[in-house]
Amino acid sequence: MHIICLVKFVPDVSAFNYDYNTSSMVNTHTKMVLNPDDVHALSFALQVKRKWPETYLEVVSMASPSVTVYMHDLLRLSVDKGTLLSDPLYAGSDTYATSEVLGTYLKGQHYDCIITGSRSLDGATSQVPAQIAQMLGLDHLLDITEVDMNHLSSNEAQCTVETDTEIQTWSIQMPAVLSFARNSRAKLPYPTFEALQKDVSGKLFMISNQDLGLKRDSVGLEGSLTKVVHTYEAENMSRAKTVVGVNDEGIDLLVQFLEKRGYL
Amino acid sequence: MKKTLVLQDTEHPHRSNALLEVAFGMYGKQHSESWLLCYTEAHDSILEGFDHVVVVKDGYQAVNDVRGICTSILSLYDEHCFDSILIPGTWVGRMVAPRLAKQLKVGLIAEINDIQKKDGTLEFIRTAYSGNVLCGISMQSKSPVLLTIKGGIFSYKAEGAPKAPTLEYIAAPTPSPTMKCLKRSPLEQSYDIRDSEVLVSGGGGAKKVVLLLQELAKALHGQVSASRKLVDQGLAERNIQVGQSGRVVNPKLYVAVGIDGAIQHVEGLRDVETIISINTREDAPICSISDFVVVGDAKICIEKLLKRIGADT
Repeated sequence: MHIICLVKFVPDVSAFNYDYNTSSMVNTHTKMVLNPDDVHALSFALQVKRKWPETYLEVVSMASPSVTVYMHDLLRLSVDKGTLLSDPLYAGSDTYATSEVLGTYLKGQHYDCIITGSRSLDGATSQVPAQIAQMLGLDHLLDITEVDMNHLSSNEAQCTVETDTEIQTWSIQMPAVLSFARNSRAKLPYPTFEALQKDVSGKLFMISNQDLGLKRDSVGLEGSLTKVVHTYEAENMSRAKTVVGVNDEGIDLLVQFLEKRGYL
Repeated sequence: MKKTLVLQDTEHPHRSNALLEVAFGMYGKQHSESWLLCYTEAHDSILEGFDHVVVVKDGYQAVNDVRGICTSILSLYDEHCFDSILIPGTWVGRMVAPRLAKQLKVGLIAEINDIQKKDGTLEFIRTAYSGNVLCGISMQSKSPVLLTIKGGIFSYKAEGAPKAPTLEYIAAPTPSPTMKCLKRSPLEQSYDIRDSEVLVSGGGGAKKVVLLLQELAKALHGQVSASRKLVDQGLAERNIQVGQSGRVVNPKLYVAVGIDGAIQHVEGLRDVETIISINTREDAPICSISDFVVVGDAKICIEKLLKRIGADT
């Protein structure tokens, strides 16, 4: 089976802090991490490869060349090929322009299955996978929690998804776009010592717009159909608050407070 | 008149007219004409507020047919040239809307929280970076305006006697044979945190008191919810997650145990009557929007509180 896994590196937002008193972001350090939903997707692909070693796995990301080191990390995990779609023209692309770039690259590739995360940590709109499916004329499933390894082939996958109200099991014919939900139990393996020593740069391919030939006005800021015009600082919503400690007096005040407002 | 098409929220049919508020926010109620594309039985409570309802025959078979839904919306668009198309931020809606955007060659703004008008242009507000930032986004493409809207953010306000909408029936396109739903079962969660009046919510600082949260919720006649941190650690189910990647809640009392409060969390609590936070840090963001703050260890605090109100077991 030939799997293409689309990934995104995102700022580690858990390191973000917001100071409500000064209404500003406190960004002490922001490192990039592999988007959590994509971790689940890639860990699934690696699981497939462990079971069927003949599986060919390519990881594709659209990003600036600065993520090269992170791509190298993935290439140390039995990923066969890495592709970085990178061009200064692509900077500032919204979801529409991003899916144009990724979709155009994928149109020229061979694959049985394209897998992605459902949402990115930074944008969280889950638009790109569905738009790629539309461009390639493929079926798509979002929020996959599990793929049945016993019913997986290059013709069909059986996937469990979780919606707001239901758990559903779907049979989907390949090729298709499968988008995985975040799963805290999904982890990427550590590279072996041997892999750490290896030079993997030969497995990483850089693709620029010269290769893809997209029109200048269909990518980047110019090709974007939505535009962030403002970034807001959160409105000050402070309330007159009572502050107590965890002691008898504090608990008494808390109980009085709850009683007065009718919750006890 | 500005024309708006709303795709029915088939997971929560009675919530569909909440999306009308978004249309009214953009164009004003007097200048709005609305259509509902309806897949379930057309009860009055679902139709209220709409001018026209397009009912899909045997729609229950097509509720999850993403490509079929797109086809139906596009053919209605060809007929009526809507100024806006509003899609609920459900599982199906989140697959439908991006496809439509590509087919119509328009931008899509997802999961908006608010609408503002600036110098005659519309600006849509949403959160980004896990709710740590609020962005104002404008549409650069031609009509229609395409949006997805998450449940619980907007609510329909009925005014006067409801008028009966015009009804039209259409057939669903034949579903593609390449996808088949083999099994459907309801999620086991017995409650929906969006309906709760009292929520006891645990965050990263509540790892060791998950069971106590249940007891406190019981004593306050409420339910337990959780922040993303607790869900990510596998200590709570995703369907009780509050915030951008979870659910938007609107309880009367919100008890935040060990939650620091990213913007997404704090924004979602704007209309909550009473917020109590239990936190080891008085300078945690959530404390500044709380009515009552207990600074200290959550375990000791909840145990003392339960004992004091005689709810300890």
